[in-house]
Amino acid sequence: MGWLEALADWPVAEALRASFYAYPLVNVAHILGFILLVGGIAPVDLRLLGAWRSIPLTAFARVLEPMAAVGLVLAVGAGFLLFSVKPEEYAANTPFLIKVGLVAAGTANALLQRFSAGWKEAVRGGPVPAAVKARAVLSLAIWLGALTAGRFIAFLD
Amino acid sequence: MTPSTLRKAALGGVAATIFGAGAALAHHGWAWVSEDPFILVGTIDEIYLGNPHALLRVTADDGQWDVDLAPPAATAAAGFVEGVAAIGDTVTAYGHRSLDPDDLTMKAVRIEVNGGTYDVYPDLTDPFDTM
Repeated sequence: MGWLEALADWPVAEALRASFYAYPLVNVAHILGFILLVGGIAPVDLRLLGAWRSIPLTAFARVLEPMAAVGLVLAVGAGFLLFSVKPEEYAANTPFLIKVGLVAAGTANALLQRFSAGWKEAVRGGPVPAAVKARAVLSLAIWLGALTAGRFIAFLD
Repeated sequence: MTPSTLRKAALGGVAATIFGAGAALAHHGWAWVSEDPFILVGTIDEIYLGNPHALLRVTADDGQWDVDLAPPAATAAAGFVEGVAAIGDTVTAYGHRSLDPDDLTMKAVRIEVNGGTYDVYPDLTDPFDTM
């Protein structure tokens, strides 16, 4: 694929490829990103499913939504830089392709959740509708799956 | 024995198992290779010296192998830098091969090419020093 080759030739990709410190540091940013993302979304999902009922959902949302959003941007940004180091190889790696699909699905699910009428009701203190709970279960499964697929990139083709 | 002494003994036993025989390879990233010393001789098709780790693709008698080297800093520290090897050179790679017999991949601790010896994992070269 032409654009994969072009990306590999990007001077930033070349610099990362040869670096002793920058590449591991971009790894740190990627890990921090998905820590904030998963660490932010999981408690909200669990709250939607009934955990910590005495703490209002709105408290969870106010703290963890920005965390998760920043985490997602950081993880995707750093992830793109990591990808650029060996684009053709990663594009042929099955766990990587699964992970990207799951990240896309997880993001879409999160946006659907966030902008749904059911969420708005729940955040105002109303009951959590079944559809919102279903998306919460899906969210946990998808992000755990993305994390797993990501780790397997180094171990499988 | 008091409970705390027993606990310390148990933890000591676990530690001894983890750090005992064969544990030279028990660190991150080596779980998929055999503990047995392995030597590969072939010609270099490709040299990659970058992140996440350096790599040689080598054609041997039984096909094309992936020879994983160390991350860039360690590989360079061993002296294996741009220019010491070229495509077409004969290389001898000392290390450990994949446990999967169909997987032509190995992790090299030492490579010899063009009269030079490069210990990319100097802590793990003992089994090969008599070879």
